[in-house]
Amino acid sequence: MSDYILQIKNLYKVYTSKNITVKAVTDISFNIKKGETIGIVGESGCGKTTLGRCIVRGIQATSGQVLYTAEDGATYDFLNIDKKKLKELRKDIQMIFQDPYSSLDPRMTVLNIITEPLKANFPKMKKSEMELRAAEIAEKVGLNSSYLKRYPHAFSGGQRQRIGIARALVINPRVIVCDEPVSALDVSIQAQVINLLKDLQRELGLTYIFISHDLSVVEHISDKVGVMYLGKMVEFAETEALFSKPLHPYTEALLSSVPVADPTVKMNRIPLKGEIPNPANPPSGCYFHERCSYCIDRCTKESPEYREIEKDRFVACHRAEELKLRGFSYDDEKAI
Amino acid sequence: MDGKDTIVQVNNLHINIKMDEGILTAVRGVSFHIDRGETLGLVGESGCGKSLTCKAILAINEQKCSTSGEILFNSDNGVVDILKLPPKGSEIRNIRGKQISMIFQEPMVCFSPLYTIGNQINECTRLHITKDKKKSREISIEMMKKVGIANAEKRYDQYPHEFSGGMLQRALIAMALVCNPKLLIADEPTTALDVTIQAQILELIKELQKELKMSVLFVTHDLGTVARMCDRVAVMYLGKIVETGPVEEIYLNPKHPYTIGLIGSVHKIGSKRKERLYSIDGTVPLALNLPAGCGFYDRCNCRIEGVCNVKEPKAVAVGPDHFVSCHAVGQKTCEEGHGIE
Amino acid sequence: MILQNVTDRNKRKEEEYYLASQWTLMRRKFKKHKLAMISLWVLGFLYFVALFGNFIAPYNLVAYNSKIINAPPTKIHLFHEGKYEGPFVYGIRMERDPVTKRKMYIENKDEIYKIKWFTRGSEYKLFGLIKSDIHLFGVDEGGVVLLMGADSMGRDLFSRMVLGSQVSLTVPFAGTIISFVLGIIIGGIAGYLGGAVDTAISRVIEVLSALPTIPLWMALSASIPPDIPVVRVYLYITIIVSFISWTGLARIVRGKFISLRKEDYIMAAQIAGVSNWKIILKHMVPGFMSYLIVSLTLGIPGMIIGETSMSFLGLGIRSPATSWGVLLQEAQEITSIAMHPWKLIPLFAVIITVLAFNFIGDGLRDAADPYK
Repeated sequence: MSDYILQIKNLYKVYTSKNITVKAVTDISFNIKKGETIGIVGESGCGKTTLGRCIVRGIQATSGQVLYTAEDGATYDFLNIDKKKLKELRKDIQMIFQDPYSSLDPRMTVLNIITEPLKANFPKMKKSEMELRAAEIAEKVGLNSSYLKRYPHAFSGGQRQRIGIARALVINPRVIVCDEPVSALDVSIQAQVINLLKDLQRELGLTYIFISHDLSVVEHISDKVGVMYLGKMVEFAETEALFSKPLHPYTEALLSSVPVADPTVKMNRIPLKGEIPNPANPPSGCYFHERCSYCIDRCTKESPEYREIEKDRFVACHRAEELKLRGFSYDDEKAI
Repeated sequence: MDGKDTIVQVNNLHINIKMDEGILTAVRGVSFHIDRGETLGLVGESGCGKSLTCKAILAINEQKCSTSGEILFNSDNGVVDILKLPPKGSEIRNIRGKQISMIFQEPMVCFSPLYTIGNQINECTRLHITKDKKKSREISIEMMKKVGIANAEKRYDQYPHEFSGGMLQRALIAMALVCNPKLLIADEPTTALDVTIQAQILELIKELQKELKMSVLFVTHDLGTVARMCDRVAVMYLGKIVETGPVEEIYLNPKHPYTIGLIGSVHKIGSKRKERLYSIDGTVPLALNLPAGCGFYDRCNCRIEGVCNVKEPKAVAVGPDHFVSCHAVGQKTCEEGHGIE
Repeated sequence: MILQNVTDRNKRKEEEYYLASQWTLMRRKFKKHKLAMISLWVLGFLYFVALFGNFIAPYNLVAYNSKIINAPPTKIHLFHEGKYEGPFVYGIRMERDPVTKRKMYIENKDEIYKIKWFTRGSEYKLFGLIKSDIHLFGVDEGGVVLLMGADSMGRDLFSRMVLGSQVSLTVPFAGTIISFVLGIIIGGIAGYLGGAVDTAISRVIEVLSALPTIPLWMALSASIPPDIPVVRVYLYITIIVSFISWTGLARIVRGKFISLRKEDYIMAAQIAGVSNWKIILKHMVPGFMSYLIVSLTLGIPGMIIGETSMSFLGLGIRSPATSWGVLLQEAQEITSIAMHPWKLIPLFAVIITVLAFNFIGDGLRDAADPYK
């Protein structure tokens, strides 16, 4: 148990207003080992961003546990600790945001943005020490430390994202939730930032939860991947296993829909009927049954259980054992 | 015009924008052509000028953009130069929406929230096809069915806010294609959509293109979409086209350092993971007061000092229908330095 | 060489832009708004005059002279019978027109009163503190210098204008400060706490905003007892005028709080462990400060007009204190204006001040969000 740095258990987030209830996150559970990168993928309305924010306590989860194993070896439920312990542990779990424009306060200098977490967590630190630390972190993420006195509007999207990364790193976290950190960036800048994140992980022993809708990026960076649909986790497996042999029909459809950057590969998409349902009014039984080509009668009535079908492989589908689903074949680098 | 089958030929297009700080040379001499029935992909990142180029073809750029060059279009009335047409005249309005159509990235902002979807699609029909109310309504509904909008009669009278993102994009496509245009300009039409919806829309565009024998100018930065949709590709950087060629050639045999870098930056889904993605150093400079020579000089790994920073490279042929604007082509093998198979 | 200079200059401009804080960017943009800059100078001049009013006005508020009732503005001459004598005025004598029997003021060319600078006159306290009796300009005993004519009690309109500006220009400011404080506190509480507190406060704001302002002001000021000291009246008027204007500000503050709460950088600060109080002070307050200032500047004209209207109707400032509104009481009758058109001058002062504030508010609003 203790070689997991983070164990998410039965996380729920429900929004209620007047008569409408939206179950943004429903019963999510998974475990992360130290130094791993877990990718979370899904389309709009699947709840992945909400999940990330609940884990980091940016918003308050309705129920569930986030068991965090701190450096001293003790395990705490990050969502249910007292104020004092929270202040102590909060610096270990940080977040990088999607939008490089709204994640930085435009009225603060970059130096102040990066040193703000230091001021909040190490109030006794001297100003000169803080500035030194900020310069150190800035150089590490590839920013010129002589530009720290500038304001965010002086920087491009990619550079702003680096500032966001510097801010997350400055207090030496152990876990970072990356909420679509490269989606708003140009392709070539994406590569820079992804390489940076990987380098930092190696150097600092970081653990990442990488949330994205871009399956190529997730395949590249993650050790394990979780697929979410309408608030529920439908499949969770090691990256290669998930991409080559998916067990859930939604995963299969998702993988087949991604256009491959190779014109010699013929697209063979699994057609999905209909559209993503309204999260405020989900279908009965399995949420995916209305669009699934393998739907049977049981799927319309009974919600499938999220179960461990093989070692470290989870899926929520009644027919997971019998279906032979299509994935990518890595041998000859051509899709089947 | 190059050939009888060429629909659009852009020759040496320049677009300058006057700003407080100086003149922004957004498009610096772009030339390409699109043949009947083919899809040309225009690939580039932000700041390369692809959106301005597209809008120039329809002559819908803002006043502050000064455009020069030629945009020859094989219209119903013979070959016309779009840039020479009076911007508010009836000829260009006869072309817009009827012979050349455009669809955009954010379908939500392309529809007025005050009118029904059907009304807005019909606006196009009534303008270009027939003024008869009943007939035009029928034609519009027919088009809505064709793009895959279920319950088209009911949906015709609904408002944009009652449509989902994917549905709106279909409605936008209906509006663009109802008059059976010769050329469809698609400016990042699927970037804002979910993966599964994106796949549906791309398939739809391909089907309709085959059926209507239409040409498509597909603008995007997503290399996967380009591989899926396009017959030929033109890669743009900082207002210039740096490489054009058939799509297989571009992907399997890229020659320009920027193209090589771009392709290397993207992990191909379903392939073995690489340790690092190839990344191009630096960022796109602002197109203000650009120095002489190749625009990619600062970020290029194969640059030749004294040559690349002095004069602009001209397009040279490196394969069948494959052109590259680079001094270093054939001089050094840049591919080694990139570490790309 | 030239190119190098140009690139250097461009680089310096770039660097300035990069290091510019929100306020610097705002200031730069504001300076480009010509009308706003002119208005700033105009207002600066008016406030300067008001500040040194007691010194600048040649007469005080109570000085009256029945010999110059409704006298027109005295002409200032430079030459007497061809010779340069310096600025001076002739004596005035009242006569009746033989036909219409109307009063006329004739210049008496025998009496010359030179305009003297820094003369001694009535006593006053500059800024309410320093005693002095030196006035900027004046004439000797027997002569009068009426730059804007006299009113129906023979009082110099120019002096009353200058002294009245002290009230007309400061009541809005005092009212502004009250609105500012109330607006931030109440709006902040509503926006930050949300829920029932927010609902309650919002309803109160809505009710107050729905009340028609002028009747409300009239009712409130009519309820001020007639025999209390002038300063207290002034205070009450200020409070009345700001009674409703805080609601507009509170709404803005509340709205900004709610929208800023959703910004990613607020969540980033929370996740980093920054305390709520610090988040409000360091992130939210600077976020809405610019909007607040714009709103205030655009609200001042309303207060000016409010005070002027009330005083015009006799419900505001009482004598011996005076404001432009009080001065305009003399301009209520059409015959009065027709015969003595100089009595309308305070009206133009009000118009210019209101316009100046409006233009400045416009300029500020255009400059307000330099990031958009």
